[in-house]
This record gives sequence, structure tokens and C-alpha cells, in this order.
Amino acid sequence: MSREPTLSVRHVEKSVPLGREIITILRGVSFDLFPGEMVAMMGPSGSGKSTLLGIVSGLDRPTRGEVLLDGTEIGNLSERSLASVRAQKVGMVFQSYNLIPTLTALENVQLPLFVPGRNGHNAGRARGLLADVGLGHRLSHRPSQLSGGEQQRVAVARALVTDPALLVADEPTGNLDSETGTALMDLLLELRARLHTTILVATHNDAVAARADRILRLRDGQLVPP
Amino acid sequence: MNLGFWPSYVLRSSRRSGRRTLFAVVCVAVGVAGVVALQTAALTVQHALTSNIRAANGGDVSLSSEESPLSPTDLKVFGQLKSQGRISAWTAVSSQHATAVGTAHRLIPFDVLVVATPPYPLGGEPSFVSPSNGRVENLIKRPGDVLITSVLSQELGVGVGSRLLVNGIGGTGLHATVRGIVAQSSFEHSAAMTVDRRDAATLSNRQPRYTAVYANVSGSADAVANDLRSSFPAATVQTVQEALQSAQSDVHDFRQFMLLVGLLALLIAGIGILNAMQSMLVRRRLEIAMLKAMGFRQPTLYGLFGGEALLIGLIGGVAGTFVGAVMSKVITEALARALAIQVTFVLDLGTLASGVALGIGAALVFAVLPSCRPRDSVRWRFCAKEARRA
Repeated sequence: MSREPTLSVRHVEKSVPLGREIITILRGVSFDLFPGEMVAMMGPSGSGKSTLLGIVSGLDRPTRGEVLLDGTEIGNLSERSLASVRAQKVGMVFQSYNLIPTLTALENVQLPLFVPGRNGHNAGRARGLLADVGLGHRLSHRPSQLSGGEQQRVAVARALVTDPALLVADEPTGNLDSETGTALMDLLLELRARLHTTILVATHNDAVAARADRILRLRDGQLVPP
Repeated sequence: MNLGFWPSYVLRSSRRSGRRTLFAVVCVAVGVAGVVALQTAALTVQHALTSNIRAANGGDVSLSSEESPLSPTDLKVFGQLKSQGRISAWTAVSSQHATAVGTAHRLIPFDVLVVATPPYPLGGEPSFVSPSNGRVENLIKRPGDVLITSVLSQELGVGVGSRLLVNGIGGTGLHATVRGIVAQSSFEHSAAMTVDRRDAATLSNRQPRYTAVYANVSGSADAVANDLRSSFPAATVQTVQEALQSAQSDVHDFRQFMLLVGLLALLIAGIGILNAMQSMLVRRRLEIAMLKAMGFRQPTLYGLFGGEALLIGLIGGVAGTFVGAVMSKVITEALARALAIQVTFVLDLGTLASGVALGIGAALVFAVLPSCRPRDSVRWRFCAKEARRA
């Protein structure tokens, strides 16, 4: 592994107003993710996982601290620049797949390539990724015509189509049965090995976390030792 | 691919929104139909009141003096203008009051215009409700033949061929036969009868009081009009151009009113569009959040939802324009009856095109308004929450 981290989170704090009070969600979180590494993030509900995922993926900004993603400090970027970071450096996988229901599997995977400034004609890569996730024969199917496992595989292909530096997955197996969940984790690990993508997985599932290179445990907005 | 992708996305999203899209289309169509119908009706009325303006003015120059009628001596001015070659022809119309018994045995008062035909009418034949393409000279060529306005026709409850006794002041009474019904040429309520000079004595034994004189000019109508204004300061002198401006001014206010009513209909329809689009957006919050999460920015989302609005506006606009055109025929006929004017239905391409454009514009405005949402929906918590809900 390279010594330069793909993601470097330094003393990140996040506070949000709730009525007249200020609620602190993250309290000085620091960690690094290195290229090709798969890290699991665990913690009870309300521990700050979602907030941290939002910050590292450029959907939200920290109140304090630094977030370096692929060498770029994204904590203080403008909305426009953050959108550009999300388009080029981050892939996201959600628990409920979040595919666009009117688009086919291929179109869903191609969609991130249509962000202005990108070359949206790279249909070959989208097809290739769908073939990689075992859906080469389901290109023209709509999400409603696919099983949950297949939809999540399409979501993985969509997250990887822009060749992001970081793949953020929030409970990717949460809606899948254990067998399909295991297959999905196999797929993620295989793709990680082949594409050398850095992956951050938030999960409550010990079996999923056990397959990661290491585990970050979050409690009350702070990382705690294993 | 990019060029084909977004239209396809827009089309499929609109189709998927099903009833909501249909409701929005219907709202646009209803609003546009209102505007197109009322504007087309107003345009038809405008056409009716301004297309035959020379006939309505009575000639190149008209002089009317209701308050201080002209005497036969006053009319010598017109003779002089003709001998100078400044006017080519002229005719004077005297008026008197008369009554006749109408429906339910009511006594109806009206004005009788006594004309000399020919040369009356100098400005061209007036518009006839009945018989269409009638000619004054042919219709009142026999003693007792009269023409009446459509307003008087309604008040008296008579039509072409009806016979009635007309009583003036000091006359023996005219046994009249209605030979033609003349359409209104303005918004002014006019209950009047036109009779030939030979019958005037049966209506009144008084000296004729000339309340209107019409002239056709050989040169400048304005110059003749100015001379007449100098000679008859109490009279109203009007050229065809001035009559046209006056009619257009009257009709303009009418059209503005109709447009206002139409736009009000569109505004009410707009609230429907707004609700439909709001509902569509709420259903698609996750989709919007995902697009933002992928890095699409607000202009792309506006383009996407604007595209759907464009489609809704186009379909609603075309449908509304079609329905409006059909409705306008009914409205025009009702207006023609109410205003007692003779109309020829006019379908103006500009009005139809602006109906479609208005539909698109209204859909864009009312559809894009609810998509001007704060950027909260991009937050991870929202995506995750929406994802769990899905």
C-alpha cells in the first residue's frame, strides 16, 4: 500500500443546531484510509456514522477539522466544488440501492458519467462493470425487474463507474439475506482487489465488518479503540 | 448518447408520474383554453367592429351633431366643398324620434334616420344580420320599406318581413315593412330605424333636423375634416382613420378585459400545476437527492424538471389551444348575440401559437417554482433516510 492516504480525516467535529441548543455529533474524529484498503465503520445508532459518511463523501461539511480526499481538502469547498468532488472522487452505495426507477440497469450505471464536464459516452465501461458484477445479461432491465441483490450490484457498478478514489457504502447488505449479502461482500472485495479502490463500509453486521482490513468503532461521536 | 438520454429520461419520468402528469396537463389545458377562447372571441369582435370601419363611419369624413342639428342652410357648406372639388359626394341624414309597439304591447321609443338613397350610404354597405349581403338601395326602394338595427329588432321582437306602425311627432304614421336588420358597428347600444326621405313626411310634419352628414373626399380627408370643424364647432367630425383609432381603443379595453379574465383562469390552473408538480417532486425527493449526491448540480436538475414541465406545457398548451378554439366559437356567438353585432369567426394563428407558448411558459413557471428547494435534500442523512423509507 502507498504511504499517502486516500482519505485523511483530522480532528473533525460536527455540531448542528437543534432548536435553541447546539448538538455535537462528532467530537474530534481522526483516521486515515489508504489506497486499496477496505475499512468497516461500526457503532450504535446515533453514534455519528451517517454524519461522518456525509462529511467524507462531500455531502456535508465539518464544523471543525480537515478532510483530505485524494489530496484535496474538501472541508471548506464551495457547493459547486463539492459537487465536482462527489462526481469525480466518490462513489456511494446505499442500503436501499437508490436506483432511478425509470432507467434501465445500464442507464443507471451510466448516469454518473453524464454529470456536466464528464464524458458520458463511455458506455463500454458501464457495460464492462455490469458484466463484472454478473449482470451483463440484465442491461436493459429496470430496477423493478431485478431482485434486491441484483439491484445492489447495479448500485455497486454505478458507484464504481467514475473510477472514484473512495467508495462509501452505508449498510450495503442491510436489505439482503445473508447469502446474498455474503455474495455482495465477495464482489466488493473482488472489485477492490482488481480496481484498487478504497472502501469505507458502515455496518452493524459483524460478519461484514470481519471481512474488512480493519474496523473503526464510533461511539458518541468519537472513535474508540477496538 | 447524452442528447438522446435526457429527453428519454424526461419522457419516462413524466410517464411514470402518471395521474400527476395528467392532472398537470389538464390544468395547463384548462388555463390555456380559457385564454385562447376569450382572446379569439375578443379578436373576432374586434374584427367585426373594425373591418368595415369606412361603412361604420358613413364615408371618408363624418359629421355628427346631435345636440345642435344642422339646418338646410348649413348644408350649403358641403355644396361649396363639392364645387371646389374637395369632396366628391355627400349626403345628409336627418333624425327624429318615433315609437312603435313591441312585444307584450310595450311602446318602444327609437330614433329614425331619414336618408336619401342614393347617394346614401357613401362609405359602403353596412353589415347586415339579415339578409346577409343586403344593399340599402335595394332594400328600401318601395314606400314603407325600412331597415332596423339588431338592437331595435330585439326590442320590437320583429324580423325581416314584419309589418309595424311607426309613429313620429305630428305625422300620420308610417306603415312600415322591415326589409333588413343592420348589425351594430360599435359597443354603443343603438335602437334605430332607417327610412327613405320620401316616407319622412308620414312621420313628422317638422322641418328636417340634420344630425349627420357624410362625405367622400377627393384629396385630404384631414383637411376637409379641419374645415368642417371650423365651420361647425359644436359638431363631432371624424375621418375614417380617427374612427378606426376610436374603435380600436374601445376594442382594446374589451380585449384587455378578456385577456385578464383568461389569465385569471390560467392563474387558477397554475395553482393546480403547482400542486401537481409539488406532489411529483415530493415523490421524487430520493431521486433528486441521488442526482445531487452523484454530483449533478442545480442547473441540471432545473433542466431535468424544466424538461418535464416543457413537455407538460407543450401537451397541455396544444390541447388547451384546440379546446379553446372550439370554445371560442361558442363564446363568440354568445357575444355576438349579446352585443348585437354581426361577426365572422376569425381563428388567428398568432393567438393559437401564443396559446401554446403560454401553456409552456405557465408550466415552466409553476413547475420550476417548487423545485427551488433548499439544498438540505443532498445531505447524507436525507439520502439514507429516504433510502430506508424506499
